[in-house]
Amino acid sequence: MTKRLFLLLSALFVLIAIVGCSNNNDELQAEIDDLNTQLTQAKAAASSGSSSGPSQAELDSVKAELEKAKEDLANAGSSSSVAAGDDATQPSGWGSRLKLVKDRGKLICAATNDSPGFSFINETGEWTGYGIEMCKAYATAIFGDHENRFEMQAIGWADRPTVMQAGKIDVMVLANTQNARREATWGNFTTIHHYAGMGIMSRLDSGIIADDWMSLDGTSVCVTAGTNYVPAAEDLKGQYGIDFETVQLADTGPAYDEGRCDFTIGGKTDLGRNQIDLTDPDAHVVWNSLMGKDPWGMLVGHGDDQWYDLIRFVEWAMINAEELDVTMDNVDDMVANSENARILRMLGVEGEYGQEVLGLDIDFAYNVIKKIGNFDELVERFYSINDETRVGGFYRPRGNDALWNEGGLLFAPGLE
Amino acid sequence: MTEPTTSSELRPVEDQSFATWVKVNLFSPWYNSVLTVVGAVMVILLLKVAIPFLLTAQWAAVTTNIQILLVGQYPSEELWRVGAGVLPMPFIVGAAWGVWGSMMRTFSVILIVASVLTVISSFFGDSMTPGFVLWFAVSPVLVLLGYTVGRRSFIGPRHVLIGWFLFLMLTLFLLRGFGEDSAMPYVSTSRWGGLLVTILIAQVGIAIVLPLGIVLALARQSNLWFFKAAALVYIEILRATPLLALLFLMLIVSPMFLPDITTPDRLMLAFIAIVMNNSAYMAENIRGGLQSVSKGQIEAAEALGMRGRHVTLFIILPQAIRATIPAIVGQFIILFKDTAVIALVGLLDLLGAAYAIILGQDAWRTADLEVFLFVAAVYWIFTYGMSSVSAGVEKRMRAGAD
Repeated sequence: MTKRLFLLLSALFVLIAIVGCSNNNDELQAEIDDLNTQLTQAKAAASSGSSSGPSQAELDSVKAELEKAKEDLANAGSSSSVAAGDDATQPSGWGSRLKLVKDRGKLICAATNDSPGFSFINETGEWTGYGIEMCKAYATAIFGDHENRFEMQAIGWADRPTVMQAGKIDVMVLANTQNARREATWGNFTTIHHYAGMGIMSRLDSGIIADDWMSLDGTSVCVTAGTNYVPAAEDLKGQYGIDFETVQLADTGPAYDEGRCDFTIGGKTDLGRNQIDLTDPDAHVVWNSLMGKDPWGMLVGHGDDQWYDLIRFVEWAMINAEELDVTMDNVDDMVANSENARILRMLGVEGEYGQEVLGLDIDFAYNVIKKIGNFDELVERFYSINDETRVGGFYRPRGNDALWNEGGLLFAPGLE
Repeated sequence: MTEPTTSSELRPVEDQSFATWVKVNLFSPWYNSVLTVVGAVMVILLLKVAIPFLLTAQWAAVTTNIQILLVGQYPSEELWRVGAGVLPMPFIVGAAWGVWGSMMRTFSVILIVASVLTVISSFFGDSMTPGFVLWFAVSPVLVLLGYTVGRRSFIGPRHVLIGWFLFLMLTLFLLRGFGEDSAMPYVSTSRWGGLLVTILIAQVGIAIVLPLGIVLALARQSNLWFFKAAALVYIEILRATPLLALLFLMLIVSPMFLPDITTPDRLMLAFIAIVMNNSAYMAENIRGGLQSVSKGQIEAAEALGMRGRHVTLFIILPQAIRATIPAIVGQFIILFKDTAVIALVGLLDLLGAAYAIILGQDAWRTADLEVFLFVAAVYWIFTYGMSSVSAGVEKRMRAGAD
């Protein structure tokens, strides 16, 4: 009895294994066989010289189809352990991501929920922040509206490379620092929207002069243990030929506040925020000079140039709108009354600058500005100096993020 | 109730003054004096930190964000579904209290006290939504209602278990909803969160882990090499992998092998990881119980002509499970606490919500202690409740009652 049961079960197991391992390549094989017969029939017809036979062009098209089907079969075979090869589910090359997003009916953005102002969850459990608004902007550009058209996926900071590799998400809206290795291995960074950097905050009574690197000689620094600020502090010593004491701590805030050290290193954005929490904020200064570059951009996967351009078009439109003073409130008026050709072209009233090649609506920029606003409006929503109008977030001066023609680094190609 | 006379009652009456009590209990041998002094210093140091903190604590960080902490990102306009779906839980707890008596008393009382305290605290600040206050006001009544129902003689343990299971299904159904246009639109599990997810994972996990553990333990004891090997491989691999590694594998690596059009249900993946890990441990707990059943029992059953599966079902398993109840409840507590690990993969359970508040909301970046204390208190309420149930079960077993 038990032996028979065992045999039955093992047979079942083997059967499941066979079914599980085999692919649905049979369909493709059948298609190839079908095309082969068509081809031989066509050849036979051609050689018999019958006038009703297919033309050379028809023959060629059948041949091409056959080649394509063979290729599909080969692809399906090589990637059998990953996914059944099918164009709809295999995002590779131009246009595949947009097709995937449109089929899904939703844009999926990945973000962390721990960045104040950038991506966080408000009291009612809604995703909020600059990054989330950008995700809405992309969705608006693609679908005309963002209502029920985007979905946020929470990830951790350490998951970024794997999440990008898995390719389940469409855009990563994170405070991602761009650098060469990430550009090569993670994906394409889109327009840099925040030029952050590693900065210094020092005590006014310590004898350190703001923005004077040599004045750091003989002082002491508080750095968070295990971060890249530790090697950065060492680099500083070599770079300027100075020496100071490095105090590594798990939490530098209280130690610096109590006067354990003369200066501290951190992201410049964070330093400004930490300064407010100190016992006497006026006794400290955040340097204008930066120790290192920290450009932030959104991320899209490698391999689909159309998608990369589409995302950048949305960002360019918002930056250009700021440059041209087109806002959420006056955009309708601009469409109706503006005589500026650059504005009319941007909003899709006249002319075209490649929207259709990228699969965007001709007036995508109008939709984005109408629903989300221009770059400045968006930044002001989360980083304004005005506590009343700010939705979460904190005050962050535009600084380097000002427009290129206003002394900043923010630059976008013209939409023309 | 007759208690055996113990020797302590025969001792002569001692001087019961406070000074004597202090001398005997705190300073009697010299090393106790040292310990008392050290202990007192530590208590004073703790109070020195705790009192200023408690006086200036920003409890608004917890109360304004109570929605995230309790239900995560569940849509605000659909919150009534959570309230309605979770309401049967206090009732079931009350019914269990009525049926099992003292075993469930501590747990029920803790739930009532916690609910009442929540309602009282809402009078000191207006930041809590009336809906939540109403829920906490109703739940103690439901516990007591469940108790009176559970006291009825026709309600047995079986009814409570079946009721619990049915209500759990109903809760999941309500939370999930139906199509887009129906009265209860579909709410993706990516929006479930907070204490709700912690409790749901724990409950559904317990409902699955115990049977799965029993099956695995029996398979490992089986005479059929295939089942034995499969169970052995499963248990040994999963017991040797940290839960966190398994979670990363499930949530971050496994999507790579899925077709691109599918978006995996991350909560479900995390749940599967927790169940897999805990069922391996559970199987080993139960195997310990299986081995404790003496061979004589099996031989006796066979001598009576019982068939193999009947011997297992009616002779071995009941004894094995009874012997391992403390270990099983211990595993349930571990499972409950394990749910906190999912915060590390970006899911918004109770701990994840706490992180999201402290790190994400600029207004509360200095209120970390308040939020974490709240989270710790919530975990304590449930784990202490569970361990009190375990203690109650052991007491009953020792008394020989069934």
